[in-house]
Amino acid sequence: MKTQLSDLLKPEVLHTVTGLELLARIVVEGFMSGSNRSQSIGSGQEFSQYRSYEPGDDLRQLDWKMYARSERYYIKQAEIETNITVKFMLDGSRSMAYSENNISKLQYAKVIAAALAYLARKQSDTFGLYMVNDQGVTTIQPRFEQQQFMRFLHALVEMESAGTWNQAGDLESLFDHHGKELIIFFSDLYDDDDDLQKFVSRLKTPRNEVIVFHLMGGKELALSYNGAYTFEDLENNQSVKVDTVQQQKDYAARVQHWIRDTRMWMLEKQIHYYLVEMDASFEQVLRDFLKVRKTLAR
Amino acid sequence: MGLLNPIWLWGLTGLMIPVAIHLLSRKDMRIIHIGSLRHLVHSTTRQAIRIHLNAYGLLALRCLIVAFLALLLAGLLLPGSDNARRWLVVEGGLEQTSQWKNFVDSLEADGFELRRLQPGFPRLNDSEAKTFVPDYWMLAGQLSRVQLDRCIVISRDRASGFAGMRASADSTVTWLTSSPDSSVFVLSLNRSLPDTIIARVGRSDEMRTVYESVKVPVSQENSLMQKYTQVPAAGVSAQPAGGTQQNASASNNTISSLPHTVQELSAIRVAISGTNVALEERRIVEAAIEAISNDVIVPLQFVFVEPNGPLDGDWLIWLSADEPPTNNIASIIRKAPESPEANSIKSFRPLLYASDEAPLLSAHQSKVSNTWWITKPLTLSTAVREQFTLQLATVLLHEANSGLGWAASAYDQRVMSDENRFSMGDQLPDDSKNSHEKTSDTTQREGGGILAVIVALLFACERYIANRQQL
Repeated sequence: MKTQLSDLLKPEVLHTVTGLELLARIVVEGFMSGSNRSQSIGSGQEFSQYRSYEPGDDLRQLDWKMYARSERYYIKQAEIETNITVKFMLDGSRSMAYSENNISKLQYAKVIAAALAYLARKQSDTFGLYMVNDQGVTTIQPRFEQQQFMRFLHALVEMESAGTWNQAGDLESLFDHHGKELIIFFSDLYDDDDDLQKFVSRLKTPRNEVIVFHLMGGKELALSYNGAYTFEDLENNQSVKVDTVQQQKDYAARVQHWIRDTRMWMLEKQIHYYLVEMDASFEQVLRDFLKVRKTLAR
Repeated sequence: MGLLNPIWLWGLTGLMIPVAIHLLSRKDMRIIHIGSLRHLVHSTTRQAIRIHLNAYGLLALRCLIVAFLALLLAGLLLPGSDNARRWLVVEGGLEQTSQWKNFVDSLEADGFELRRLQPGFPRLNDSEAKTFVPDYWMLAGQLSRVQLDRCIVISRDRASGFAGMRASADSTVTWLTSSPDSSVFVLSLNRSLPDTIIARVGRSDEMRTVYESVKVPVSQENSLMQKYTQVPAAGVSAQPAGGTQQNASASNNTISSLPHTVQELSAIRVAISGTNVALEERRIVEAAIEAISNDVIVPLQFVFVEPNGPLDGDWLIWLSADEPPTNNIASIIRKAPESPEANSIKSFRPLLYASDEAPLLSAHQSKVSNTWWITKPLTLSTAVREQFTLQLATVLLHEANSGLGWAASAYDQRVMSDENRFSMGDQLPDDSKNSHEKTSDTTQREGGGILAVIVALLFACERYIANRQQL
């Protein structure tokens, strides 16, 4: 993680809207410079090219100023604006409070969500936010408005991890199968009775796209604590005494097996799975993510 | 078993430290909050148990370290071997005094061998108490060579007994001083005038000895005797360090008998003569003799005789460079001949010195010689500077005083002070109050060395195990 960026990962920055916006901007601008444009062409705000009018074309796309100059009919083409709806969903359960290097999974997710939302705004996509825990669902409905980003950031900042995953089953509002949408789900995937798996599976429809960011700490993956510790579950407060040195190998194997299984069933459901190690920098995570998406888009 | 400094046993409260650390660290095993325990297994394997056992072992080791450290500081005394050699060395006669009798008896019951503070250290019961002042430093040196485990010395520490090389104190030797009573004694009785007795009365205590002359009419002699006849403590008599004829005869002069005979003092007659005597030299000599006669008990008679006149007297002071007539005269004080060789060494000599074989010896030391030399021209300044009067008195009165010195030293009660008794280095614990307490523990020896080794070993073990556990 870059030092300048990690310097900003302080409560006073993370817990303000402007601070989170600043973070998102820094993260995105860091790799946006010189990035490639959209490959497909269509109507949009960004001008792409002119082509001759052909019968059947929409007259609204005719460039009348061009006709005035050249007495020819030209259709003004712009980059196609994808206009998909991006839904950010955050696992708000208490287990997301697990922190390494003074940054918790939830905070990490917040920064990445903010960065992706910033990116979405640049692309004129609508985006919304859903945070789920057993106390209910915090919702920012997807809209395309000036204030949407600020509203989004404010909701992110206000969010706190508490309780467990929603068990009440009032998540029906989240399963909205209208139109194209991109669902980005941040979670540590610590579920009870496969409730998360069921939830994620239900999110996926033929028309939408679901991306799961699986947040895992580096020490959490390898159990590299060195020594005997008492581990306490954040959600149910059970504790267990563990000699980490002795368990390291088995633990790492179990975790890798679990991750592989998760990846496999998501793959079956055509859900994109990204394992995010919290040791990696935000930019690195975003760059890897976008690179993979680009290759998939072609 | 015993302890030298039991106050250090409070150090055992330090045991609470490792125990407290152990308990606290058990309670405060670091907690890590983690999202889920699903991949973790409770560690109750053998390795974990071993770690726990190690923790208990470490706790025990640390407690032991603290305990042994406390014992080390407290000065644990381990039971010593039974064949330890322990001596109680007593200076002659002291074992009978009420001050020390109980002490000596209790130590004898404790297994101490009783010895005398005499050359060879004879057993107390086998030997006669000799009544002389021992040569303390020589004896202390011998004692330290005897290789004793414990040794207690009770001595009078007469200042006159400390002579020669100062010995260094041995740590196994406890040197106790029997402080003397102050005494008043009559050193000598002299009669110079028919009706008067002059007594030299001395007062001596552990700090100083002072003499004064008391004139008594003959009729009161008996009351004086009653007043002052007091046998010095424990009847110590003078004993010379050397063995010359003269000293041996002096040693027979035991104190108890000494002041009872009145010594008749005959006048010392001095004749002053010489050819062409300078008036100043003659005056100086006459003044000196007069001054001496005013101050001493012995009457001095002096007369100036013309060189050709009849010479008679005990001493002849010949104040010219030529050869004096030697008939009828026992001792001669004469001027040194004026030779270049004599001049060259004159300045190094005392004004008066004994003649012949050992010209550099001082007059006082050479007792056999009866010819004395005046090495320099007698002037007023020389006489004052060289203390001519004093030197002359020493020479003239030497024989009259002989023998009194040893008697005086036997009466001398002065005690060598503690700080001067032995050379610095290791100080002797000679506080007689503590000595009783300490001597009761003398059947034991200190376990300091062993304890220190044990503590070091334990510490090494503790570090080793602690390091291994951290791996």
